[in-house]
Amino acid sequence: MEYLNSMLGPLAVALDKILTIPSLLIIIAGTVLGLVIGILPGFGGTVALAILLPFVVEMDYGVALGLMIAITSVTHTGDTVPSVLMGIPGTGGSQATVVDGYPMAQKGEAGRAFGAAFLCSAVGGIFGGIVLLFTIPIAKPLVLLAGTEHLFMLCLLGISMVAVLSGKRPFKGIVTGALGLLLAGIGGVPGISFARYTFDRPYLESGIPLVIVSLGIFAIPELTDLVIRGTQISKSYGLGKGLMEGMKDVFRHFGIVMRCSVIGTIVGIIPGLGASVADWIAYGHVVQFAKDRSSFGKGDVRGVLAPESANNAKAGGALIPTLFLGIPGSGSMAIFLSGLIMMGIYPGRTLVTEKLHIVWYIVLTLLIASILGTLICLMFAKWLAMITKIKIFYIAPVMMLIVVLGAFQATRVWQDLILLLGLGILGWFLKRFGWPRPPLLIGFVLGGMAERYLSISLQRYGLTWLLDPGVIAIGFLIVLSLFMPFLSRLFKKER
Amino acid sequence: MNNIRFGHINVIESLKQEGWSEKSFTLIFNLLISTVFMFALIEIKDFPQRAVAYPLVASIIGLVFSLLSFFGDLKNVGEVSKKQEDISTASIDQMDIASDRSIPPRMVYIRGAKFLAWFIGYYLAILLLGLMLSSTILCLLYIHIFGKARWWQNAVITLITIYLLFGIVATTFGVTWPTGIFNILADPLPVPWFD
Repeated sequence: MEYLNSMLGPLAVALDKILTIPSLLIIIAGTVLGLVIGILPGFGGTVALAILLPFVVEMDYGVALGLMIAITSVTHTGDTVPSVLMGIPGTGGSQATVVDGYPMAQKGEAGRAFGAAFLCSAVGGIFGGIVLLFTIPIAKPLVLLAGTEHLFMLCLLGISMVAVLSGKRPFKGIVTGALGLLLAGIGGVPGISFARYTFDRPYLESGIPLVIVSLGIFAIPELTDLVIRGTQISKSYGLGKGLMEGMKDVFRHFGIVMRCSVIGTIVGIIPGLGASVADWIAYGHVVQFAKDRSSFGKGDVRGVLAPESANNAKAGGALIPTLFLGIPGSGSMAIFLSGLIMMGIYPGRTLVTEKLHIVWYIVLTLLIASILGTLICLMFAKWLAMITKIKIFYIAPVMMLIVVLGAFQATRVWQDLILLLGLGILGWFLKRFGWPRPPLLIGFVLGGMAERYLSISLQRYGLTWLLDPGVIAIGFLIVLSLFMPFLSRLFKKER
Repeated sequence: MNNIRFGHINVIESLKQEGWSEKSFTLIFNLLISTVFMFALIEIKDFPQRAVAYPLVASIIGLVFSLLSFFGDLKNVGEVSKKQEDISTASIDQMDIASDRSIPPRMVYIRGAKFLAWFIGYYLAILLLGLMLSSTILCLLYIHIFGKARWWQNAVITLITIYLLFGIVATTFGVTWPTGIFNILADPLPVPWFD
């Protein structure tokens, strides 16, 4: 009974906060922003959060979380629009949608594709949110058992999995993860009065601000690539009719929607697997189990239902390791986690004991935003489609302005802007030459935390913590994750 | 010197054949990354003991794997591609979206450099004129040159952008911005509606 009260009490606090006009307006604003970001190809949730972070981090947690979670929840709802109408994935999580969504538009069934995609996105998002909700009472006792030594090992596990799972060349992922760790090491050392790699520059003594890293590594390269590509206008098909028909398809194939929502949630929980993995696995699943596969790739609505359910369900799954273990599984979760820390909300133990109402707030925001995003898309599909016609040359100067303004908020000195440009150039070359960038950001975010946990563990236990069974088990997982790509290649060769 | 070999591949001859291609740039970039880690390792010798462990582990891991990656890429330089292998192996079916390969590399670098020049010019303008004025000029110029909008469309887009952005961020979020050496528009203008 006491346990139930400890769960429901914070829920009441969260409900009390969220069911107010200002909070709901913030969620609506975040939802609209997330939809627009999803519709503009090349941006995505990571860039949106990187740009938003410097502005919201000093505000009330309700505003900050409302915006961030709403954006994260619905980016993969909005990204359907360019995928279906233009054959260009709005984000990495809607690539599989193009395979059948674009042919549907070519056949004059874009409306049907939209109806199906938007509604199943809501179902997927709600499913992910419910899984997150039911994880809370399970995660709480587990998190309380974890000590600093386990948290240190989990940080390493998160970095290793993300590094190895991102990209076809895992070595490059490990290198960029190590680069992120090194960048995090610049500045003060926990526990002693010494600053590393500052080269006598006072600016670097407090370390590199996360905002600069995220904007430089993600926002500037994406913006640069959009400008290099030029106009966003390409052959775009009209909306047509069939919105209701598409919505009915969700109920006709409800089993597919639910199974792919499960896939998306599981993929979200595993660090290193992004939305693009979720949608391809879901697509592959539905094709594999279809009795008649001949229609796939030619405009089969099931080919839209599967990825769209999965990529939205992923949001709820991804929040589980982020909130309870402090392991962000993707670039956007890394930025979200950093935002939490900058607001004084630490993942893991503190969150499940003293600030459980914040977790409930996040769950409720996720659920509301998922439903709201779908409603807005269904009502304003035609208007949202017009956003795809905006030329990049109108967006570019606005984005430059926002990025520079956001970067300046980090520490409000000129060095922020110079560092931004330097990291932007680095980020662009990393992308150009095939070095995955999310491990760098995750290494940067987790590196500082890892060193702190390591320092505390060494102070408390010396080196004896290395013999802890939990530490050994996680260490084994780290080694396994590092060797997984090589083992799987070996296995494939033998077959 | 001309006979450096990696397995059956003559490295120098292969690089000569590749010329200044993207594969060569990839190798150079890889070496630069390795150099960063080597430099980080060298710097560690001046650190106190408690500050050594973390950067040491990160630098060693980074150096080892960057060199492994370098030799992996070097192997690709000499091999004749039977199929067009995409250099950008941050696969789009993983977490990061790869660069668009449909545009010729030379065009990519030229356009990228031009955009960088715009950024540097913007910074210089901020230094002299402050953020508000330089942002207005940036929007007007950029849209005029690339967007090919009519002057009044350009002016409307710019004014709405600057008004909304500075109205929202300055008043609602309490943001500050660089004012430039001449201190022009140091204080936020009174913005109707958002005040």
